[in-house]
Parts: sequence; C-alpha cells; structure tokens
Amino acid sequence: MSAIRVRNLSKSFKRPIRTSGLRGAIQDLLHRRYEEKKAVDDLSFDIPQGEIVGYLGPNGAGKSTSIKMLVGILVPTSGDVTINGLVPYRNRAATARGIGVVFGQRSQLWWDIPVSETFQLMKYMYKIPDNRYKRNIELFADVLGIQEFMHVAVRQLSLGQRMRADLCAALLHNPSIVFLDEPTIGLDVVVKKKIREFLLEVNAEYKTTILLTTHDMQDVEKLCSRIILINNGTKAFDGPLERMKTEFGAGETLSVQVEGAVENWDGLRLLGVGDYRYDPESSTLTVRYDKRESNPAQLLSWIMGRASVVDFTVKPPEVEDIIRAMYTNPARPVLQEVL
Amino acid sequence: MRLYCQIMLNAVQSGTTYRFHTFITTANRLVALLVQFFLWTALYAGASALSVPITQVSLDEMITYAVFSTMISMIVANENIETLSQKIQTGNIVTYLIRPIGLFRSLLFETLGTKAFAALFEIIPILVVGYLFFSPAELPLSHLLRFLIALFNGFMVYFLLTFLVGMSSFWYLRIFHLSFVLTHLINFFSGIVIPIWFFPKALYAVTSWLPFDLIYYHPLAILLGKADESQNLFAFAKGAAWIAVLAAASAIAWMAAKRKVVVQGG
Repeated sequence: MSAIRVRNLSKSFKRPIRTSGLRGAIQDLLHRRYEEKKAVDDLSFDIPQGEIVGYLGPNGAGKSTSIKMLVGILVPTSGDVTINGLVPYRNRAATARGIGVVFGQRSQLWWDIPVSETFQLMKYMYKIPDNRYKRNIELFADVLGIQEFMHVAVRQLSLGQRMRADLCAALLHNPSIVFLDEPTIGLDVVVKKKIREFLLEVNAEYKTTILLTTHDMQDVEKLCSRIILINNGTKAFDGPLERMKTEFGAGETLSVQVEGAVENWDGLRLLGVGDYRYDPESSTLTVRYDKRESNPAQLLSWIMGRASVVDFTVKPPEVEDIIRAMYTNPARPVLQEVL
Repeated sequence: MRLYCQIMLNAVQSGTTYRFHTFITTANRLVALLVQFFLWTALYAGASALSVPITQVSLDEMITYAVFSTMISMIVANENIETLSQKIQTGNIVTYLIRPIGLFRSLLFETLGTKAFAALFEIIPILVVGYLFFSPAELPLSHLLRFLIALFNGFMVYFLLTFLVGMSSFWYLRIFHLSFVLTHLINFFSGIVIPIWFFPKALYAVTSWLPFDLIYYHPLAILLGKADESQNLFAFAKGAAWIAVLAAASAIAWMAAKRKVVVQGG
C-alpha cells in the first residue's frame, strides 16, 4: 500500500470576475459573475512509505492547493486521495493523527506562551506516551537546537527559531507522513542546514515519508530522491532527481580563458552552439551548449585552433537551471515526451 | 481529558501575558457598573418623588441585578466571532484544521481557560467592589445550584450563537454586520440593559420563546428569587431545547463549511 495515493485529483474554485472602474464596481456589486479557475487538474501519483519527494512548481501552480487536499483541509472537486489508506476529508481527525503538517508561512504554535507548552499540548492531543515524548523532545531539541529557546514565548522568537519549533511540534507524534509547505522559506543558511539534517535523520530513523514544496534548490538536492513537478495544476514531471538532471539538464557551460584578441566566434554556431559570449576584459569566452547537440571536446579543440587557451572549466547543469528552464518553458517538446 | 486541561491551562497562561489589558478591562467594567448604579438610583428617586410605583422590584434588587449582570457578561462573553473571522480571513484557520480535534472543542476549551483566568482577575474584583460600595440585596444561597445550571445554559447558548455567526465568515468573509445584529438582539432581548419584567406583555411573550433571555435574565431572576419553580422548569427545558437546536445548526454549518473552505492567502 502506498503511503500517499492520488488519482485524477482536481480542484476548481469559483472566482468573481471584477470589472474595472466605478461603473464596473457597481455592476459587480449588483450582479456578480464568476469564472471557474482550475487550480489542480487531473493529478495522479503514488508515494511509497519512506520516500522524500520534492513537490516543485512555480508560484500558483497548484502545489499548496493539492497539499491541502492531501491533508484533508480542502475537499476535492473530483478524484481520489488516500493517505495511509484513509480518505482525508472524510476522516479528517483519523488522518491527522498519522500525519504531520507544517505550513512555512503559518505557525501552529500558541502565540503568547512558551514553546514547551505547545509541545505539552501536542503530547496530549496525539496521546504520545511519556517515554516516547521524552525521547523525541531530547532528540529533536538536540538536532534542531531548540533547547536554548524552549521557555521563550513564541511571539518573541526569530523566524528561524519559530520554524524549528513548528517542525518539532509537527513531528513529535512520529507521524508516518510529513507534509512540508515551504519549510525553509525566509531562513538563513545555517538554519536551513539544521532543518535538512533534521529531516534526513527523522527519515532514516523512522522511515518517515516526506513530501515537501520548496523554491530552494539546495533543499531539493540535499533531501529529495524524487521530484514531482507540477505546472498549471497538472503534472509536468515525475521521477528521480538524477533522471531529471540527465533528461532535462543537458545544458553545460564551458568557460575558456584565451590569449590574443580574437573577436569573431561565430564559427561556434556550426558546432551547434547558440549561446556564447566573449568578455574582452577577462578575455573569457563563455559557451552554453546542449550536450546532445555539441561535444565539449570538439568545442574545446575548435577554440584551441583559433586562440591559445590559458585555462578552462566545464560546469555541469545546476538543478536550479533545469527547474528554471522547465518553469519558463513548460510546454517545450521534451516535456511533452514525458507526458 | 488531559488534552482539554492543557488547552485551558495554555489559555490561562496566555491571559497572564497581557497584564495591562486585564487591568484596563476590569477598570472598564467598574465604570460601566458605576453608570448603572447612578442610573437606577436616579430613576428610582424620580419615581418615588412622583409616587408612581414603577415595579415591584426594589432599588437594592435592581443594583444587585446590575452587579450580577456585569459578572455574567464576563462569564458568557467570548471572542468566537473575532477569532473565527480573523482566522478565516487570513487563512490561519488551517492550523486548526490539521489537528485531530474539532474546531468547536478547541475553541470551547480555550474559552473556558480564559474564563478561569477571568474568574481570578476580573470577576472577583467586580464582586468585591460591588459588595463594598453598592450594598446589593442579600442573596439566598439555596438558589445556587439552580443559578449555576442557568448560567451554564446561558454560556452555551451564547457560545453557540457566536460560533454560528463566526462560522458564517466561511461564506461572507467580513461579518461585523452580523456580529452587530447579534449584539443588538442580545442587548435588547436578554435583559442585560432592561430587565424583562419591565417589558410590555406582547414583547414579553415573544421574548419567552427566544433563546436570548437564557443568557442574562433567567440566571439573574433565579439569583433574585424572582423565578418560581414552574418558570425555572420552563427555562431549563427551553435552554436544553435551544442548545440542542443551536448545536445541530453548528454541526450542519460546520459540515457545509468544510466543503466551502477556501484557504485565503495561499
């Protein structure tokens, strides 16, 4: 049984159409017209127990909406979701007991009182046995570094502290599935690193399934073994991180430092390169090419034939570049192949 | 059960955070009480000068009514409407929806926690001042149990009414107008401003079927010994019926709201 099973999931919202101007405003007040906006459109996937999945997509792609359906906050317009075998919106309380949820932009901590009191509340809310509660607090507080602000009121915490405390609160009951909606938003590198270590440790220790959305590519590279990319409410890619790199990340960058003033590099076009730039100040030629169309060794030997090369580097594709390319050009042919 | 104790405890702790707020709230109630004291004193003085018997209720009893209606208002009052509409408008309602316990119970026990706090720091000062300065009527303690039942009914009726209005935020987002309507209905029909025994007959008949007098008038009437056994039984039955109706309405509204939930702000 998959931990998370999603079949043909769709959600549409009715949104009032606003007409501009004063006349429009009055018109809207008297007679409101609606348009239907499909936030999630026919989404299907399975996630087995213990996997860490990066749930990626540009803003407004439908990530948060689908997560809210997975945790039972929103009722799908059509399609099915099962979480640990339960339909979340029908068994909201039972589902909630088995999952942990963190919305990076909202805190579920009790605002005016110390963090430790919210932890106590979680203990009773999820009926966590004494010894497990103690062990988890010790383990989590240690990895996340919570001890130092355990007895400080939540409203006095920094964003990074609050986020760590929120994570701890959401995971105290050892949920088998954790949903994280932008858990590292607005945090500095040190805190981000702590949070990643924590998630990896929890995943290793308890075989916790983790589904996280993020815009931080470090998160993706350090944590996720699998990527689900959605765009306009539909799935654009689903597969291992490595496959995404090889299939979509064919673009490499070759930087060559040359001697002697050579101005015309147009010959590179014949070798299949469309994007190159020569910076006379550092006498560096930067060539971006698609590995399936150009051979780096060939490019380098062509350049060496025209100028004397002082130094060169080849940069592999960054996940960030791949994602950016996929976001900005979602309908390009390579993506359609996967669909 | 430990869970609900913890929710209450947390609410008490939250209460202690805002000392200034507590102090000002109490001061505010004392001023309101003072106004009522002088108002009724003046009214009674005027009435006796004209030798018009305005009622069978003595000035002492009227002052007792004012002191205890202030106290009851502190017990039944809650922040459901503001809390719910604010959470729904900002989308923070999700933090309630991801928990394995219901919104209603969370709010109920949070409110009971704040009441426990208020009992210590707001209600007792009012009673002390009330007794020291306004010399209200002696109260027969034999009515205490009946009074507590009536108070519980009043609390629940008020809680459910505000919960329902608060939940309408799921549909209308901004609901201060509905909140106004409810406040005015309660102010008028509950007997907090004008005791129901001053109402004309027709209005009295209408009022006796509405739930609002359960909140203030009935507990106060018991306290002052103005309610006989049959009136008490009627009020208790009416309380149970209205609580059942309002609870059913809340459950239905909640079911509908869950289908309606749109999380604001992503």
